[in-house]
Amino acid sequence: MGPDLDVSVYKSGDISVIGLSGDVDTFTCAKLRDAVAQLIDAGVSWVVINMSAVDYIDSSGLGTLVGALRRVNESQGGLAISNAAPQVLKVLNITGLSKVFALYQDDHQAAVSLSEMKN
Amino acid sequence: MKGNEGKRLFDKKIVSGSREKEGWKPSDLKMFKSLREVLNKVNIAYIGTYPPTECGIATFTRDLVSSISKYTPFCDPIVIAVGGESDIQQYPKIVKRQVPKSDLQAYLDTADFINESQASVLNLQHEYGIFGGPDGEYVLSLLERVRIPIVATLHTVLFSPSPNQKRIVQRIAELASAIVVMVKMGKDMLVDCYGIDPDKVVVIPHGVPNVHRVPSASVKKTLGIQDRPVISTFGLINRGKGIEYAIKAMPAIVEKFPNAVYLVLGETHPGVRNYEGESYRLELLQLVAELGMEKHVLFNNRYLTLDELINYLCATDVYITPYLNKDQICSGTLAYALGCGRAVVSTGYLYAEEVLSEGRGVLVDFKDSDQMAEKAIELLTNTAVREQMESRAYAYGRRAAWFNVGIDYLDLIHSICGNARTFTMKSASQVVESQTVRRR
Repeated sequence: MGPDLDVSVYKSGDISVIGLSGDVDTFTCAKLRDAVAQLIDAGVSWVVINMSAVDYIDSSGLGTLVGALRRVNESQGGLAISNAAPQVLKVLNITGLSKVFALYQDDHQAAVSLSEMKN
Repeated sequence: MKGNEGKRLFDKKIVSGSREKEGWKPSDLKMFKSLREVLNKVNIAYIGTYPPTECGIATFTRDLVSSISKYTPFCDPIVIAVGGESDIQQYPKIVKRQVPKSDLQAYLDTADFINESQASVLNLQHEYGIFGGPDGEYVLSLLERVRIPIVATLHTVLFSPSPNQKRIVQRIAELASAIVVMVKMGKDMLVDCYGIDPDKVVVIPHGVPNVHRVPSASVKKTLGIQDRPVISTFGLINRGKGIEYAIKAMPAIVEKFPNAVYLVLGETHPGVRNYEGESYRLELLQLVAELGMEKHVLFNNRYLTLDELINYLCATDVYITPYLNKDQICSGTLAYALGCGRAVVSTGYLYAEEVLSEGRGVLVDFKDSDQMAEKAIELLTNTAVREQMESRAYAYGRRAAWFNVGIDYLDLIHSICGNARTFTMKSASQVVESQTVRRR
Protein backbone atom coordinates (compact mmCIF):
# COMPACT_ATOMS: atom_id res chain seq x y z
CA MET A 1 0.00 0.00 0.00
CA GLY A 2 2.47 2.63 1.12
CA PRO A 3 6.02 3.24 0.00
CA ASP A 4 8.50 0.58 0.90
CA LEU A 5 12.24 0.14 0.87
CA ASP A 6 13.84 -2.66 -1.09
CA VAL A 7 17.32 -3.58 0.02
CA SER A 8 19.75 -5.67 -2.01
CA VAL A 9 23.38 -6.55 -1.35
CA TYR A 10 25.88 -7.14 -4.13
CA LYS A 11 29.57 -6.75 -4.88
CA SER A 12 31.51 -4.12 -6.76
CA GLY A 13 35.00 -5.52 -6.99
CA ASP A 14 35.85 -6.65 -3.49
CA ILE A 15 33.53 -4.13 -1.83
CA SER A 16 29.98 -4.89 -0.69
CA VAL A 17 27.28 -2.58 -1.94
CA ILE A 18 23.88 -2.11 -0.32
CA GLY A 19 21.40 -1.04 -3.00
CA LEU A 20 18.37 0.87 -1.78
CA SER A 21 15.15 1.44 -3.69
CA GLY A 22 12.17 3.35 -2.30
CA ASP A 23 11.84 5.64 0.72
CA VAL A 24 14.26 5.61 3.64
CA ASP A 25 12.08 6.91 6.43
CA THR A 26 10.94 6.22 9.93
CA PHE A 27 8.94 3.19 8.80
CA THR A 28 11.58 1.58 6.63
CA CYS A 29 15.01 2.57 7.96
CA ALA A 30 15.25 -0.59 10.08
CA LYS A 31 15.77 -2.53 6.85
CA LEU A 32 18.89 -0.53 6.08
CA ARG A 33 20.10 -0.81 9.66
CA ASP A 34 19.63 -4.58 9.57
CA ALA A 35 21.47 -4.88 6.25
CA VAL A 36 24.48 -2.99 7.64
CA ALA A 37 24.41 -5.04 10.84
CA GLN A 38 24.36 -8.29 8.89
CA LEU A 39 27.38 -7.25 6.84
CA ILE A 40 29.33 -6.20 9.91
CA ASP A 41 28.38 -9.39 11.72
CA ALA A 42 29.73 -11.26 8.70
CA GLY A 43 33.03 -9.39 9.01
CA VAL A 44 32.40 -6.90 6.21
CA SER A 45 33.20 -3.37 7.27
CA TRP A 46 33.90 -1.57 3.98
CA VAL A 47 30.50 -0.73 2.55
CA VAL A 48 29.01 1.33 -0.26
CA ILE A 49 25.37 2.39 -0.07
CA ASN A 50 23.87 2.99 -3.50
CA MET A 51 21.05 5.55 -3.22
CA SER A 52 20.24 6.06 -6.88
CA ALA A 53 16.71 4.67 -6.53
CA VAL A 54 15.81 6.38 -3.26
CA ASP A 55 12.80 8.64 -3.69
CA TYR A 56 12.74 10.31 -0.29
CA ILE A 57 14.76 10.27 2.90
CA ASP A 58 13.73 11.71 6.25
CA SER A 59 15.63 12.48 9.44
CA SER A 60 15.29 8.87 10.63
CA GLY A 61 16.85 7.74 7.37
CA LEU A 62 19.70 10.21 7.84
CA GLY A 63 20.15 9.00 11.38
CA THR A 64 20.39 5.45 10.12
CA LEU A 65 23.09 6.47 7.64
CA VAL A 66 25.03 8.15 10.43
CA GLY A 67 24.55 5.04 12.54
CA ALA A 68 25.91 2.92 9.70
CA LEU A 69 28.95 5.16 9.46
CA ARG A 70 29.48 4.84 13.19
CA ARG A 71 29.30 1.05 13.01
CA VAL A 72 31.75 0.67 10.14
CA ASN A 73 34.12 3.11 11.85
CA GLU A 74 33.96 1.01 15.00
CA SER A 75 34.92 -1.98 12.90
CA GLN A 76 37.85 -0.07 11.42
CA GLY A 77 36.12 0.05 8.05
CA GLY A 78 34.66 2.74 5.83
CA LEU A 79 31.42 3.76 4.21
CA ALA A 80 30.62 5.63 1.03
CA ILE A 81 27.43 6.65 -0.72
CA SER A 82 27.16 6.19 -4.44
CA ASN A 83 24.93 7.84 -7.01
CA ALA A 84 22.70 9.66 -4.55
CA ALA A 85 19.39 10.61 -6.16
CA PRO A 86 18.85 14.39 -6.49
CA GLN A 87 16.41 14.55 -3.57
CA VAL A 88 18.84 12.65 -1.34
CA LEU A 89 21.74 14.87 -2.39
CA LYS A 90 19.61 17.93 -1.63
CA VAL A 91 18.90 16.69 1.90
CA LEU A 92 22.55 15.83 2.51
CA ASN A 93 23.63 19.25 1.30
CA ILE A 94 21.07 21.20 3.28
CA THR A 95 21.78 19.40 6.52
CA GLY A 96 25.55 19.50 6.03
CA LEU A 97 25.84 15.72 6.02
CA SER A 98 27.44 15.90 2.60
CA LYS A 99 30.54 16.89 4.55
CA VAL A 100 30.31 13.76 6.64
CA PHE A 101 29.79 11.14 3.94
CA ALA A 102 32.01 10.33 1.01
CA LEU A 103 29.79 10.75 -2.06
CA TYR A 104 30.58 9.18 -5.42
CA GLN A 105 28.94 9.15 -8.78
CA ASP A 106 28.80 5.37 -9.08
CA ASP A 107 29.53 2.11 -7.30
CA HIS A 108 32.79 1.58 -9.14
CA GLN A 109 34.30 4.90 -8.09
CA ALA A 110 33.14 4.36 -4.53
CA ALA A 111 34.48 0.82 -4.41
CA VAL A 112 37.85 1.84 -5.86
CA SER A 113 38.15 4.61 -3.31
CA LEU A 114 37.26 2.36 -0.38
CA SER A 115 39.63 -0.32 -1.65
CA GLU A 116 42.47 2.22 -1.69
CA MET A 117 41.65 3.26 1.86
CA LYS A 118 41.35 -0.34 2.97
CA ASN A 119 44.77 -1.20 1.63
CA MET B 1 21.98 1.94 19.88
CA LYS B 2 19.60 -0.79 18.85
CA GLY B 3 16.12 -0.22 17.63
CA ASN B 4 15.79 3.50 17.50
CA GLU B 5 19.25 4.42 16.37
CA GLY B 6 18.17 6.54 13.45
CA LYS B 7 15.76 8.65 15.39
CA ARG B 8 18.06 9.10 18.32
CA LEU B 9 20.97 10.35 16.31
CA PHE B 10 18.82 13.20 15.20
CA ASP B 11 17.10 13.67 18.51
CA LYS B 12 18.18 16.79 20.27
CA LYS B 13 17.96 15.14 23.68
CA ILE B 14 21.06 13.11 23.04
CA VAL B 15 23.12 16.21 22.36
CA SER B 16 22.93 17.31 25.96
CA GLY B 17 21.05 14.47 27.58
CA SER B 18 21.78 11.15 29.20
CA ARG B 19 24.10 9.63 26.64
CA GLU B 20 26.13 7.49 29.03
CA LYS B 21 22.98 6.17 30.64
CA GLU B 22 21.72 5.03 27.28
CA GLY B 23 24.87 3.09 26.53
CA TRP B 24 26.74 5.57 24.36
CA LYS B 25 30.41 4.84 23.91
CA PRO B 26 33.25 7.38 23.71
CA SER B 27 33.33 6.85 19.95
CA ASP B 28 29.67 7.88 19.79
CA LEU B 29 30.45 11.06 21.68
CA LYS B 30 33.33 11.74 19.33
CA MET B 31 30.99 11.38 16.38
CA PHE B 32 28.58 13.78 17.99
CA LYS B 33 31.24 16.36 18.49
CA SER B 34 32.16 15.90 14.87
CA LEU B 35 28.55 16.26 13.75
CA ARG B 36 28.13 19.32 15.93
CA GLU B 37 31.06 20.84 14.10
CA VAL B 38 30.02 20.14 10.54
CA LEU B 39 26.23 20.15 10.37
CA ASN B 40 24.68 23.30 8.98
CA LYS B 41 23.16 25.48 11.65
CA VAL B 42 20.53 28.15 11.63
CA ASN B 43 18.61 29.43 14.63
CA ILE B 44 15.07 30.25 13.64
CA ALA B 45 12.50 32.31 15.51
CA TYR B 46 8.87 31.53 14.70
CA ILE B 47 5.88 33.71 15.44
CA GLY B 48 2.30 32.51 15.13
CA THR B 49 -0.23 30.59 17.16
CA TYR B 50 0.95 27.39 18.78
CA PRO B 51 -0.68 24.42 20.56
CA PRO B 52 -2.42 24.09 22.95
CA THR B 53 -4.21 26.82 21.02
CA GLU B 54 -6.59 24.91 18.79
CA CYS B 55 -6.41 26.18 15.24
CA GLY B 56 -4.93 25.04 11.96
CA ILE B 57 -2.12 27.58 12.07
CA ALA B 58 -1.05 26.49 15.55
CA THR B 59 -0.83 22.91 14.32
CA PHE B 60 1.03 24.03 11.21
CA THR B 61 3.57 26.02 13.24
CA ARG B 62 4.19 23.08 15.55
CA ASP B 63 4.64 20.66 12.66
CA LEU B 64 6.95 23.02 10.77
CA VAL B 65 9.12 23.66 13.84
CA SER B 66 9.28 19.95 14.50
CA SER B 67 10.20 19.01 10.93
CA ILE B 68 12.94 21.64 10.67
CA SER B 69 14.32 20.82 14.11
CA LYS B 70 14.88 17.21 13.10
CA TYR B 71 17.37 18.39 10.50
CA THR B 72 19.03 20.95 12.78
CA PRO B 73 19.62 19.00 15.99
CA PHE B 74 22.22 21.42 17.30
CA CYS B 75 20.03 24.52 16.99
CA ASP B 76 17.43 25.96 19.35
CA PRO B 77 14.14 27.05 17.78
CA ILE B 78 12.62 30.14 19.40
CA VAL B 79 8.85 29.97 19.24
CA ILE B 80 6.81 33.06 20.01
CA ALA B 81 3.13 32.29 20.54
CA VAL B 82 0.42 34.85 19.89
CA GLY B 83 -2.60 34.27 22.08
CA GLY B 84 -5.79 35.84 23.30
CA GLU B 85 -5.80 38.57 25.90
CA SER B 86 -7.89 36.78 28.46
CA ASP B 87 -6.60 33.26 27.94
CA ILE B 88 -3.87 31.71 29.98
CA GLN B 89 -2.18 28.99 27.99
CA GLN B 90 0.30 26.49 29.30
CA TYR B 91 2.64 26.25 26.35
CA PRO B 92 5.41 23.68 25.97
CA LYS B 93 8.96 24.74 26.81
CA ILE B 94 9.80 25.41 23.19
CA VAL B 95 7.63 28.53 23.41
CA LYS B 96 10.03 31.16 24.68
CA ARG B 97 7.66 34.12 24.70
CA GLN B 98 3.96 34.90 24.52
CA VAL B 99 2.37 37.91 22.83
CA PRO B 100 -1.10 38.95 23.99
CA LYS B 101 -2.86 39.49 20.69
CA SER B 102 -4.18 43.02 21.34
CA ASP B 103 -1.20 44.45 23.22
CA LEU B 104 0.67 46.65 20.71
CA GLN B 105 3.56 47.27 23.10
CA ALA B 106 4.07 43.51 23.40
CA TYR B 107 4.76 43.35 19.66
CA LEU B 108 7.44 46.03 19.98
CA ASP B 109 9.00 44.37 23.00
CA THR B 110 8.96 41.05 21.20
CA ALA B 111 10.83 42.57 18.27
CA ASP B 112 13.53 43.64 20.73
CA PHE B 113 13.51 40.16 22.22
CA ILE B 114 14.07 38.67 18.76
CA ASN B 115 16.84 41.13 17.96
CA GLU B 116 18.63 40.21 21.18
CA SER B 117 18.18 36.47 20.65
CA GLN B 118 20.43 34.05 18.77
CA ALA B 119 17.90 33.86 15.92
CA SER B 120 19.25 34.58 12.48
CA VAL B 121 15.90 34.47 10.70
CA LEU B 122 12.24 35.02 11.68
CA ASN B 123 9.46 32.89 10.25
CA LEU B 124 6.07 34.60 10.42
CA GLN B 125 2.95 32.45 10.24
CA HIS B 126 0.42 34.93 8.93
CA GLU B 127 -3.33 34.99 8.94
CA TYR B 128 -5.14 38.27 9.50
CA GLY B 129 -7.19 37.05 12.45
CA ILE B 130 -4.42 35.77 14.69
CA PHE B 131 -2.82 39.18 15.27
CA GLY B 132 -4.22 42.27 17.00
CA GLY B 133 -5.35 45.59 15.56
CA PRO B 134 -7.51 46.19 12.48
CA ASP B 135 -6.98 43.17 10.19
CA GLY B 136 -4.12 42.09 12.44
CA GLU B 137 -1.96 45.09 11.54
CA TYR B 138 -0.11 45.12 14.88
CA VAL B 139 2.22 42.48 13.54
CA LEU B 140 3.66 45.09 11.17
CA SER B 141 5.05 47.00 14.16
CA LEU B 142 7.03 43.93 15.10
CA LEU B 143 8.22 43.21 11.58
CA GLU B 144 9.33 46.83 11.05
CA ARG B 145 11.45 46.68 14.19
CA VAL B 146 13.06 43.29 13.63
CA ARG B 147 16.60 43.42 12.26
CA ILE B 148 16.96 39.84 10.97
CA PRO B 149 15.63 38.44 7.67
CA ILE B 150 11.96 37.49 7.63
CA VAL B 151 10.32 34.56 5.86
CA ALA B 152 6.55 35.01 5.91
CA THR B 153 4.19 32.09 5.38
CA LEU B 154 0.81 33.36 4.20
CA HIS B 155 -2.15 31.16 5.09
CA THR B 156 -4.67 33.54 3.51
CA VAL B 157 -4.40 35.46 0.26
CA LEU B 158 -7.66 37.22 -0.49
CA PHE B 159 -8.70 37.70 -4.06
CA SER B 160 -10.64 40.85 -3.13
CA PRO B 161 -8.94 42.26 -0.05
CA SER B 162 -10.03 45.45 1.66
CA PRO B 163 -7.57 48.36 1.18
CA ASN B 164 -6.17 47.75 4.66
CA GLN B 165 -5.81 44.00 4.12
CA LYS B 166 -4.01 44.64 0.85
CA ARG B 167 -1.74 47.21 2.48
CA ILE B 168 -0.78 44.77 5.22
CA VAL B 169 0.21 41.98 2.85
CA GLN B 170 2.10 44.41 0.62
CA ARG B 171 3.97 45.76 3.65
CA ILE B 172 4.81 42.24 4.83
CA ALA B 173 6.19 41.54 1.36
CA GLU B 174 8.32 44.71 1.52
CA LEU B 175 9.75 43.76 4.88
CA ALA B 176 10.23 40.05 4.21
CA SER B 177 13.05 38.42 2.30
CA ALA B 178 10.67 35.74 1.07
CA ILE B 179 6.96 34.98 1.07
CA VAL B 180 5.81 31.38 1.18
CA VAL B 181 2.43 30.29 -0.15
CA MET B 182 1.20 26.74 -0.49
CA VAL B 183 -0.18 26.73 -4.01
CA LYS B 184 0.90 28.32 -7.25
CA MET B 185 -2.40 30.12 -7.51
CA GLY B 186 -1.52 31.98 -4.31
CA LYS B 187 1.68 33.19 -5.92
CA ASP B 188 -0.20 34.32 -9.02
CA MET B 189 -2.61 36.30 -6.87
CA LEU B 190 0.19 37.98 -4.92
CA VAL B 191 1.87 39.00 -8.15
CA ASP B 192 -1.24 40.02 -10.11
CA CYS B 193 -3.46 41.54 -7.39
CA TYR B 194 -0.92 42.81 -4.88
CA GLY B 195 1.94 43.73 -7.21
CA ILE B 196 4.46 41.67 -5.28
CA ASP B 197 7.79 40.77 -6.87
CA PRO B 198 7.41 37.18 -8.13
CA ASP B 199 11.04 36.44 -7.25
CA LYS B 200 10.13 36.95 -3.60
CA VAL B 201 7.33 34.40 -3.60
CA VAL B 202 8.07 30.72 -3.11
CA VAL B 203 5.57 27.87 -3.32
CA ILE B 204 6.06 25.18 -0.69
CA PRO B 205 3.16 22.76 -0.23
CA HIS B 206 1.25 22.42 3.01
CA GLY B 207 2.97 19.70 4.98
CA VAL B 208 1.28 16.41 5.69
CA PRO B 209 2.16 13.65 8.15
CA ASN B 210 4.27 10.74 6.98
CA VAL B 211 1.66 8.01 6.67
CA HIS B 212 2.14 4.51 5.40
CA ARG B 213 -1.24 3.36 4.23
CA VAL B 214 -2.94 0.30 5.59
CA PRO B 215 -6.02 -1.47 4.21
CA SER B 216 -9.07 0.55 5.25
CA ALA B 217 -10.96 -2.59 6.28
CA SER B 218 -8.62 -3.26 9.19
CA VAL B 219 -8.89 0.33 10.44
CA LYS B 220 -12.68 0.36 10.09
CA LYS B 221 -12.85 -2.66 12.32
CA THR B 222 -10.99 -0.90 15.13
CA LEU B 223 -13.43 2.01 14.84
CA GLY B 224 -16.49 -0.23 14.90
CA ILE B 225 -17.60 0.71 11.39
CA GLN B 226 -16.51 -2.42 9.56
CA ASP B 227 -18.20 -3.21 6.26
CA ARG B 228 -19.59 0.31 5.98
CA PRO B 229 -18.72 2.73 3.17
CA VAL B 230 -17.18 5.68 5.02
CA ILE B 231 -17.35 9.33 4.02
CA SER B 232 -15.74 11.89 6.27
CA THR B 233 -14.90 15.52 6.90
CA PHE B 234 -12.64 16.70 9.70
CA GLY B 235 -11.47 19.95 11.19
CA LEU B 236 -12.59 22.65 13.54
CA ILE B 237 -16.28 23.01 12.80
CA ASN B 238 -17.62 26.36 11.66
CA ARG B 239 -20.21 27.64 9.20
CA GLY B 240 -17.62 28.11 6.46
CA LYS B 241 -17.21 24.34 6.23
CA GLY B 242 -20.61 23.92 4.57
CA ILE B 243 -21.14 20.57 6.28
CA GLU B 244 -24.92 20.89 5.92
CA TYR B 245 -24.53 20.37 2.17
CA ALA B 246 -22.66 17.11 2.66
CA ILE B 247 -25.30 15.98 5.15
CA LYS B 248 -28.02 16.76 2.60
CA ALA B 249 -26.17 14.48 0.16
CA MET B 250 -26.47 11.53 2.52
CA PRO B 251 -30.04 10.33 1.78
CA ALA B 252 -29.14 9.74 -1.88
CA ILE B 253 -25.92 7.99 -0.89
CA VAL B 254 -27.72 5.84 1.66
CA GLU B 255 -30.30 4.86 -0.93
CA LYS B 256 -27.50 3.35 -2.98
CA PHE B 257 -25.35 2.19 -0.03
CA PRO B 258 -27.65 1.48 2.90
CA ASN B 259 -24.73 1.03 5.30
CA ALA B 260 -22.97 4.27 4.39
CA VAL B 261 -21.84 6.52 7.19
CA TYR B 262 -20.68 10.15 7.15
CA LEU B 263 -18.27 11.04 9.94
CA VAL B 264 -18.05 14.68 11.00
CA LEU B 265 -14.84 14.75 12.97
CA GLY B 266 -13.74 17.57 15.21
CA GLU B 267 -15.04 20.07 17.69
CA THR B 268 -16.49 23.50 17.08
CA HIS B 269 -13.76 26.08 16.40
CA PRO B 270 -12.98 27.68 19.76
CA GLY B 271 -13.21 31.16 18.23
CA VAL B 272 -16.67 30.36 16.88
CA ARG B 273 -17.75 28.82 20.17
CA ASN B 274 -16.89 32.10 21.89
CA TYR B 275 -19.49 34.06 20.00
CA GLU B 276 -22.16 31.59 18.94
CA GLY B 277 -21.57 28.57 21.13
CA GLU B 278 -22.59 25.26 19.57
CA SER B 279 -25.45 26.69 17.53
CA TYR B 280 -24.01 25.54 14.16
CA ARG B 281 -23.45 22.01 15.40
CA LEU B 282 -26.96 21.96 16.88
CA GLU B 283 -28.36 23.05 13.53
CA LEU B 284 -26.46 20.21 11.87
CA LEU B 285 -27.85 17.72 14.39
CA GLN B 286 -31.36 19.04 13.75
CA LEU B 287 -30.84 18.64 10.01
CA VAL B 288 -29.67 15.06 10.51
CA ALA B 289 -32.84 14.34 12.49
CA GLU B 290 -35.08 15.99 9.89
CA LEU B 291 -33.50 13.81 7.19
CA GLY B 292 -33.76 10.68 9.33
CA MET B 293 -30.02 10.15 8.98
CA GLU B 294 -29.20 9.59 12.65
CA LYS B 295 -27.61 6.22 11.91
CA HIS B 296 -25.71 7.57 8.93
CA VAL B 297 -24.21 10.82 10.16
CA LEU B 298 -22.00 10.49 13.22
CA PHE B 299 -20.18 13.28 15.03
CA ASN B 300 -17.01 13.13 17.07
CA ASN B 301 -17.06 16.39 18.94
CA ARG B 302 -13.45 16.51 20.08
CA TYR B 303 -10.13 18.00 19.03
CA LEU B 304 -8.59 14.83 17.63
CA THR B 305 -5.02 13.75 18.17
CA LEU B 306 -2.92 13.17 15.07
CA ASP B 307 -3.06 9.39 15.53
CA GLU B 308 -6.84 9.45 15.88
CA LEU B 309 -7.14 11.64 12.85
CA ILE B 310 -4.94 9.42 10.71
CA ASN B 311 -6.94 6.38 11.81
CA TYR B 312 -10.18 8.01 10.75
CA LEU B 313 -8.69 9.13 7.45
CA CYS B 314 -7.30 5.67 6.73
CA ALA B 315 -10.78 4.27 7.34
CA THR B 316 -12.31 6.76 4.91
CA ASP B 317 -13.44 5.78 1.41
CA VAL B 318 -14.41 9.27 0.27
CA TYR B 319 -13.24 12.46 1.95
CA ILE B 320 -15.40 15.54 1.44
CA THR B 321 -14.51 19.21 1.83
CA PRO B 322 -17.80 21.00 1.14
CA TYR B 323 -16.27 24.39 1.99
CA LEU B 324 -18.01 27.60 1.00
CA ASN B 325 -15.21 30.15 0.51
CA LYS B 326 -13.98 30.25 -3.09
CA ASP B 327 -10.89 32.27 -2.05
CA GLN B 328 -9.51 29.69 0.36
CA ILE B 329 -5.89 29.06 -0.65
CA CYS B 330 -4.98 26.61 2.05
CA SER B 331 -6.64 23.68 3.79
CA GLY B 332 -4.73 21.58 6.26
CA THR B 333 -7.54 19.04 6.39
CA LEU B 334 -7.51 18.48 2.64
CA ALA B 335 -3.71 18.27 2.67
CA TYR B 336 -3.89 15.60 5.38
CA ALA B 337 -6.50 13.63 3.41
CA LEU B 338 -4.17 13.63 0.40
CA GLY B 339 -1.30 12.58 2.64
CA CYS B 340 -3.34 9.55 3.67
CA GLY B 341 -4.13 8.81 0.03
CA ARG B 342 -7.87 9.42 0.17
CA ALA B 343 -10.21 9.91 -2.77
CA VAL B 344 -11.64 13.40 -2.39
CA VAL B 345 -14.84 15.16 -3.41
CA SER B 346 -14.57 18.89 -2.87
CA THR B 347 -16.08 22.20 -3.77
CA GLY B 348 -13.84 24.22 -6.06
CA TYR B 349 -12.10 26.62 -3.72
CA LEU B 350 -8.67 27.73 -4.91
CA TYR B 351 -6.57 25.32 -2.89
CA ALA B 352 -8.75 22.34 -3.83
CA GLU B 353 -8.75 23.34 -7.50
CA GLU B 354 -4.98 23.16 -7.58
CA VAL B 355 -4.14 20.19 -5.38
CA LEU B 356 -6.94 18.00 -6.74
CA SER B 357 -5.98 18.59 -10.36
CA GLU B 358 -4.45 15.78 -12.44
CA GLY B 359 -6.97 13.24 -11.23
CA ARG B 360 -6.27 13.57 -7.53
CA GLY B 361 -9.88 14.37 -6.68
CA VAL B 362 -13.26 15.48 -7.98
CA LEU B 363 -14.61 19.02 -7.84
CA VAL B 364 -18.28 19.90 -7.42
CA ASP B 365 -20.18 23.19 -7.38
CA PHE B 366 -20.55 25.09 -4.15
CA LYS B 367 -23.64 24.20 -2.07
CA ASP B 368 -24.59 21.46 -4.54
CA SER B 369 -25.58 18.42 -2.46
CA ASP B 370 -26.84 16.51 -5.50
CA GLN B 371 -23.42 16.68 -7.17
CA MET B 372 -21.71 15.67 -3.93
CA ALA B 373 -23.97 12.62 -3.71
CA GLU B 374 -23.47 11.76 -7.38
CA LYS B 375 -19.67 11.94 -7.20
CA ALA B 376 -19.45 10.11 -3.88
CA ILE B 377 -21.65 7.32 -5.26
CA GLU B 378 -19.48 7.08 -8.37
CA LEU B 379 -16.35 6.70 -6.28
CA LEU B 380 -17.93 4.21 -3.90
CA THR B 381 -19.23 2.18 -6.84
CA ASN B 382 -16.16 2.20 -9.04
CA THR B 383 -13.38 0.79 -6.92
CA ALA B 384 -10.78 0.90 -9.69
CA VAL B 385 -11.32 4.62 -10.30
CA ARG B 386 -11.23 5.30 -6.57
CA GLU B 387 -8.01 3.36 -6.06
CA GLN B 388 -6.36 5.17 -8.95
CA MET B 389 -7.36 8.48 -7.41
CA GLU B 390 -6.05 7.33 -4.03
CA SER B 391 -2.69 6.44 -5.52
CA ARG B 392 -2.37 9.85 -7.21
CA ALA B 393 -3.36 11.61 -4.00
CA TYR B 394 -0.86 9.59 -2.03
CA ALA B 395 1.97 10.35 -4.45
CA TYR B 396 1.22 14.07 -4.01
CA GLY B 397 1.14 13.56 -0.26
CA ARG B 398 4.55 11.93 -0.24
CA ARG B 399 6.12 14.98 -1.89
CA ALA B 400 4.28 17.18 0.61
CA ALA B 401 5.27 15.07 3.64
CA TRP B 402 6.55 17.23 6.46
CA PHE B 403 10.04 15.75 6.16
CA ASN B 404 10.23 17.16 2.62
CA VAL B 405 8.54 20.45 3.47
CA GLY B 406 10.99 21.01 6.34
CA ILE B 407 13.87 20.58 3.89
CA ASP B 408 12.24 23.03 1.45
CA TYR B 409 11.99 25.66 4.22
CA LEU B 410 15.58 25.05 5.31
CA ASP B 411 16.74 25.36 1.71
CA LEU B 412 14.97 28.71 1.43
CA ILE B 413 16.24 29.92 4.80
CA HIS B 414 19.84 28.96 4.06
CA SER B 415 19.68 30.77 0.76
CA ILE B 416 18.36 33.89 2.48
CA CYS B 417 20.90 33.74 5.29
CA GLY B 418 23.63 33.25 2.73
CA ASN B 419 24.97 30.10 4.29
CA ALA B 420 23.81 27.53 1.81
CA ARG B 421 26.67 25.18 1.15
CA THR B 422 26.37 22.86 -1.74
CA PHE B 423 28.53 19.83 -2.15
CA THR B 424 28.46 17.73 -5.22
CA MET B 425 29.66 14.20 -5.60
CA LYS B 426 33.39 14.13 -5.30
CA SER B 427 35.99 12.52 -7.40
CA ALA B 428 37.61 9.47 -5.90
CA SER B 429 40.91 11.19 -5.24
CA GLN B 430 39.31 14.08 -3.40
CA VAL B 431 37.44 11.73 -1.12
CA VAL B 432 40.40 9.52 -0.34
CA GLU B 433 42.31 12.63 0.60
CA SER B 434 39.57 14.05 2.82
CA GLN B 435 38.83 10.73 4.53
CA THR B 436 42.49 10.15 5.18
CA VAL B 437 42.67 13.52 6.86
CA ARG B 438 39.57 12.74 8.93
CA ARG B 439 40.87 9.38 10.02
CA ARG B 440 44.23 10.66 11.22
